[in-house]
Amino acid sequence: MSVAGDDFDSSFLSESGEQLALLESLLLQLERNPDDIALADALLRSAHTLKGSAGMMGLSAIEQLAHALESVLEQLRSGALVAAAVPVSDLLVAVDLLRKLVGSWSLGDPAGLRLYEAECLRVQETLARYTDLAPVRMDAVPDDADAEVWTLELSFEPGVLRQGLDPAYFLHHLAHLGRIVDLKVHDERLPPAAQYQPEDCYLSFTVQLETSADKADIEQVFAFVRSDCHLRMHPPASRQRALLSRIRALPEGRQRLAELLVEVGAITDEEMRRALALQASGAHPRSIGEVLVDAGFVDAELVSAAVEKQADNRARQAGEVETVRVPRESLEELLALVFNMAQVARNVQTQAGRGGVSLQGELEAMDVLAGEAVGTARRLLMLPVREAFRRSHRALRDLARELGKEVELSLQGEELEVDRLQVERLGEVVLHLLRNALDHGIETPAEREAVGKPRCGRITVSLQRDGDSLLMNLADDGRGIDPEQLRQRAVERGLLRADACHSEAELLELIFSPGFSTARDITRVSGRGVGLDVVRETLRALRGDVTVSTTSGTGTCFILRLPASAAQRTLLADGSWLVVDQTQRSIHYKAA
Amino acid sequence: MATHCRIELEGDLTVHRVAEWWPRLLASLAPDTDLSLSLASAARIDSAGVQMLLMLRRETVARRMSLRLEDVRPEVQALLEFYRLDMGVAGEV
Repeated sequence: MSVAGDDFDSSFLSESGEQLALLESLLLQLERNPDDIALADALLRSAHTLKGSAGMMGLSAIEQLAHALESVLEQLRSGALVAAAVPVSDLLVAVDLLRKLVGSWSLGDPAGLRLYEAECLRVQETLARYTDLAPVRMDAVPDDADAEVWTLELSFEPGVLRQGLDPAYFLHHLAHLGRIVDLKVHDERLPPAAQYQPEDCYLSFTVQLETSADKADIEQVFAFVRSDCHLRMHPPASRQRALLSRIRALPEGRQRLAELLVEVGAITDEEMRRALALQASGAHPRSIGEVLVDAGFVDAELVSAAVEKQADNRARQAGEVETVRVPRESLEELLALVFNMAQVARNVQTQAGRGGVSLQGELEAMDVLAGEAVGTARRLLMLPVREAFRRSHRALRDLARELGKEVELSLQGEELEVDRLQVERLGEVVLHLLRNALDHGIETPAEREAVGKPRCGRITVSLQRDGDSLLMNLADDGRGIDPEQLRQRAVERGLLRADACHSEAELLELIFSPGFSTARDITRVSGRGVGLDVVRETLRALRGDVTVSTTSGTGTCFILRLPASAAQRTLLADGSWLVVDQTQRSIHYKAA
Repeated sequence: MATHCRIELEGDLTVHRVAEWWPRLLASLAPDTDLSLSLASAARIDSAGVQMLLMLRRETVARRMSLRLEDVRPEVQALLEFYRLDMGVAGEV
């Protein structure tokens, strides 16, 4: 039974799934382009979003692991770590574990979550090696290794000394947070002797404080005297950079500038309150950013970054692509309605033309609108085929490592669209064929070099339309399939008579027989004889089929044909949606 | 030749006493004098006391005077050091 019942839960489930898929895909790209800072940026954003949503759901295990991952990515983003020094595999392991945790949670399995505790700790330890972060709870005090030098500027209201509030007392307490590297006493505000009131405070101070504490911790030292002191905290350069990255990595949604700055730790709540009060009391309207900078609460660079982020958020929200889940039936119904409307419009147009009635302009417009509506409905039902390859890159990479092989996957025509339902089924089929090609087809680098092939094998998937069908060729440049070997295997298994004569094509068909395998070793990957028969069954269930051609020593090519789904066929062929057979039309009329 | 003047504060250098000390100190300043301020009796100091010493230094400089602190107790010395102030301390108690 699922616990992910309400909207909030299912929204987290869907969002975390998207973020994890994105993380995996970006990590694979990072492995190939370790110098691409934009990738590190996108990764950081994604990990941060995941952490934020997990935090909101109170899923501390997921939040902590995402945090550990985010810390490594932050170091990559800031340049403190070089991507080449961090094996992507370690980061992928964290993503895998996050996926398991989300999965366990979605099944309402708290025991399952506990099962992963040890694994979580292990993975966090691995990640911590890259960031020097101990794998501890997120609210722990930061390690001194992270200490950085802050510059603090302090001045006090005249009356503090008389109230028994000695600046020295608070300044001494700063030493609890770290080390006072330097302290300067400023006496410029001391008045002429005649006006000097010995019990008034005229002094101000600049302190260089080496600490790993954050702004709020520092402010806390002055809590007792906060209403009588003016405190400006200038973060260390590295922290300033981190704040900038944090601002850029913030998830979308937060709109108010001051809140955004509080969230990343650039200003404290108290500073926000003060700035808002200053803004409200000002004679002239000023932006909160200006007030914050003028009050010395935050650097202008951070305000600019936050303003940019705000603009970015607004732009994204304005043009946000919202994912909606709609019952398939509703879409098909909509499609049928629109189709009928268009049909009626055409009929009326024809009649109007005959009778000379001047409805032509409006009817033409209606026709255009109906055409657009059909296009929209089509997009709702379709997805680019590339979606079917989402898991393929990772799976091939992992398998290649496991088998000690090298392979490159190239896709052509993956932007072609097919029915959403078909994409899912096609994904399984494609994954199986790719693994099969790498396991059985592609040779080891040494074997390939020995026969004069490049070390790295190649699998090429090309997609094209053929009428209203989709044709997919999945070709590898491996060793090919030896028909004679197939024949021997079939004879051993009693599938063929030893003296029977069969063509090469007939022998090749054997690979689609249930339980048939020529693999010498039964591996986790393939060779269990479960596979190509299932591939064919799946395609036939979609009213398609799969065939194979091979050249020994050169490679194998699987050819898949996938016809358009019923709904699709009303929509295909450059919007010529009137090409529809009587059966389909009757279904649509019924649904309407 | 500059005149030498020695003043001893008979008490702490804190906010509770500075209002009392300051008029007396100010009254004792004369141009071209070397002033020695003995803090032998000052067991405690706070920022008001430090501030008064800074004020005193400014006024002595304005009068072309020199200022030396003498018999400074460790408690007083500690705050001066914490504030990184070089007040011309000539001797510690």
